[in-house]
Amino acid sequence: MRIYRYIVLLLMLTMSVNSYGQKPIPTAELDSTLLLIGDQVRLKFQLDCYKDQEVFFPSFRDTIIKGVEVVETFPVDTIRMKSGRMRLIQEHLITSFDTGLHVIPRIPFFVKKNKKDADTVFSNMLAMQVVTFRVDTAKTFYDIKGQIKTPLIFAEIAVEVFIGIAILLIIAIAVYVILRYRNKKPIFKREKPKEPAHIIAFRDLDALADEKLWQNGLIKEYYTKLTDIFRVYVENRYNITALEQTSDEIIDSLIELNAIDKQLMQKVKDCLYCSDMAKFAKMVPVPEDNEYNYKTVMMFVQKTLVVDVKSDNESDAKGDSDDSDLQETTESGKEEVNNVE
Amino acid sequence: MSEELNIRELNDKIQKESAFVDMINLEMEKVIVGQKHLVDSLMIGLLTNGHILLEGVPGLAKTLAINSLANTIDAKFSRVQFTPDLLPADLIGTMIYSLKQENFSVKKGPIFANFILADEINRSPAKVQSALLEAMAERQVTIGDSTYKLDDPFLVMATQNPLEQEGTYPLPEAQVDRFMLKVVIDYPKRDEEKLIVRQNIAKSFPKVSTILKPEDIIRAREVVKDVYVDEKIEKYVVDIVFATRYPEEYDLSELKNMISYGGSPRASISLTMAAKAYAFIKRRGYVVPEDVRAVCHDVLRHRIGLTYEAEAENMTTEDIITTILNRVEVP
Repeated sequence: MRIYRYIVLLLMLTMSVNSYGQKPIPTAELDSTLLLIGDQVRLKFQLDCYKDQEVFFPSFRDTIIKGVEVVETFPVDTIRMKSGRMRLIQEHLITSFDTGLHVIPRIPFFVKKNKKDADTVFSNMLAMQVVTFRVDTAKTFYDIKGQIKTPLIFAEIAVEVFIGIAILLIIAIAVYVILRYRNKKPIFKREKPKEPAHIIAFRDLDALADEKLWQNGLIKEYYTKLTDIFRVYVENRYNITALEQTSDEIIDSLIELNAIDKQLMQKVKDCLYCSDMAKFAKMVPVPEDNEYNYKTVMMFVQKTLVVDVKSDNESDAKGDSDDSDLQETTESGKEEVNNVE
Repeated sequence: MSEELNIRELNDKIQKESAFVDMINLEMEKVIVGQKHLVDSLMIGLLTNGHILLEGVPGLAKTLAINSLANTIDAKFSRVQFTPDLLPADLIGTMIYSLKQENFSVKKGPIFANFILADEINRSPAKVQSALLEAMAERQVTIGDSTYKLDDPFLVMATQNPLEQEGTYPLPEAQVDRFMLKVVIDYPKRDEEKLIVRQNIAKSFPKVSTILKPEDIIRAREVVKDVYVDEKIEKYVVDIVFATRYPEEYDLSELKNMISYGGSPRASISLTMAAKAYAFIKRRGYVVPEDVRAVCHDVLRHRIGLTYEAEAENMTTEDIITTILNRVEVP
C-alpha cells in the first residue's frame, strides 16, 4: 500500500512538471520604465517554446493601451537553442504623450500545440512612468525657438532635379517632333556630306557650256547662270553671302579677304560688270566676250579651289590623282591649288 | 562688244542730260560740308517729282540744304514755319474782301511756289498737315470756289525734329506714305565738322549760284523716266516690298511678329522710281541692283509699321530693312 502511494505521488509529480514545461511563459520588459514625454522606448516580448508549437503574438494597431502609442513594430526574431527549443522575440517601439503612470496589462499570446489543442498564455504586467519637463517658474519665459535651418544639400533635391530635367527633355523632344511634323520635315535626318565648292562649280560650268545658251541667242540667261555659278562658288568657298550681294559688294568682300591677286580680281570685276550689262541693260556682248567671261569664272575657281587633304589622300590611294605637285598646304589644313591655267 | 542701239543712245543721252547733276553737286558743296547722302536724296526727289521728309536733330543743315538746292534753280522758293497756331489758310491762301472794289479777291498762300520748305511739319495740327499733304497729292488747291493748279516743278521738303516730341502732332501713317523719301540725317564726321566751323567763322559765307531753270528739271524728269528697268530688277523690287508684308515667305519668319504692316504698292512704285533717279545721278541708262539697295532705306523706312514686340526689342525699321536686304536674293 505504501509503495502504491509513492508510485502515485511520483506519477503526479512527473505529470505536473511535464505539463508545466510544455506551456511557454511570455515575458514583457521595457528598456526604461521612466521616460520623458514624447521619448521612445522599446517594449520587448520574449517567449520560449518547442519547435512544434505555433505561437501567435499580439498585434497592436496604434496603441497598446490608452496613452501608449506604437511607433513601429519589428518582425519576430527567432533564436534556436541547443535544447531543441526556440526563443521568439518581438520588439515594439512605443511612446507616450500623456504624463503619469501607465500600466501595460498582461498581454495574451496564443500557443497552438497541435491541430486540436490551443492555449492562451499571458505576459507579465509592466508599469511605465511618463514625466514632463521641469519648469523653473523663477526664470523668465522664452518664446518657442524657430526651426533650425540646415544647409540644403544636393542629395535632398537630387530626385526633384532629375525629374525636372527629364520633364524638360521630354517637352523639348515633343516640341521638336511637333514642329518637324507641322513643317512636314522628317523627324530624323541624315546630314549629307557637303560637296566641295569647286566640284559644284565645275559641274555647273560644264552643264552651262553644254546648254549652249549664248550660241542660241539667250544672252541674258547665259550671264544669269554664269554669275549664279560664280556667286554660289564664292558663297561656298569663302562663306560670303554672295547670293544676297550686288556685284560691287561681292568685289568688296573678296578684296577684304586679301587672298586673291589683283590681276584676277580685275578680270572678275570686268566679268561681273559685263554680266550686269547683259542682265540689266540689254547688252549683247560679242561671242569672244562670252567665252572670255566663262574662262574667267573657270580660272577663278581653279585658282582659288581648296582640296580636302583627306579626300585627296583617299583618291591618291585609289590611283585617281597624280597632280600633287600643284598643291600647297594652307594653314587650314587644306591644300590650295595654285598656278593652274 | 556690241550693244543694242536704244540702250547706247539712252546712255549717251543720260551722259549729256545728267551733266547738271555734277554742277548742282559742286554748288551744294560750296555751302554744305559732307551730307552727300542728303544731297543725293534731294536730287532724287527733284528728279522723280517726289516729296521728301527730312528728319534729324537741329543744326544739321536740313534747312540750308533745301534752301541751297532751291537757289541753284531759278525757281520760286517759299518757307513755312509750322507752328501750333498755323491755319490752313496761312498755307494755301484765302479770300480777302476789298472795300475799294467791293468784291473778294484771292490772296494766294506760300504754297504757290516751286519749292516749299515745310519746316518742322509735326508742330502744326492735323488740319494744316492735311491741307499740305492734299496739295502734295493733288498738285492743286481750292480757295473759295476756284481751283488753282500749283507750279511745276512742285516739290515739298518737310523737316521734322525727332527730339521734343511733346506738343507735336506726329504725321499719320497714311499721310507719311505720300512722302516718297524719308531721309534721316546724322551728325557730320570729325573732319567735316572742322570744315563747317571754319566756313562759318569766316568773314563771308559762300553763296550758291543759280545754274538751272525749272524747265531743265522737267526735261531731266522725262529722261529719268526713260531709264531702263529690267524685269529682273522689277522682280527684285517686288521681292523686297513683299518681304516687308510676308516675311515668312522669304525665310524671314523672325520678322513676322515685328512688322504690323508692310510697304504698299506705292512703296514699290517709289522704290523703282528712286532707283531710276539714282541710276541717272550715277549717269547710267539702266538700273542695277546697287541702285535699288542705295535708295531702299529712304523709300521704305516710313512705310513699315512696327509691332509692340519690335519696339520692346528696340528693333527699328532700319534693322528690318537691312535684314531683308541681306536675305532677299539679288538677281
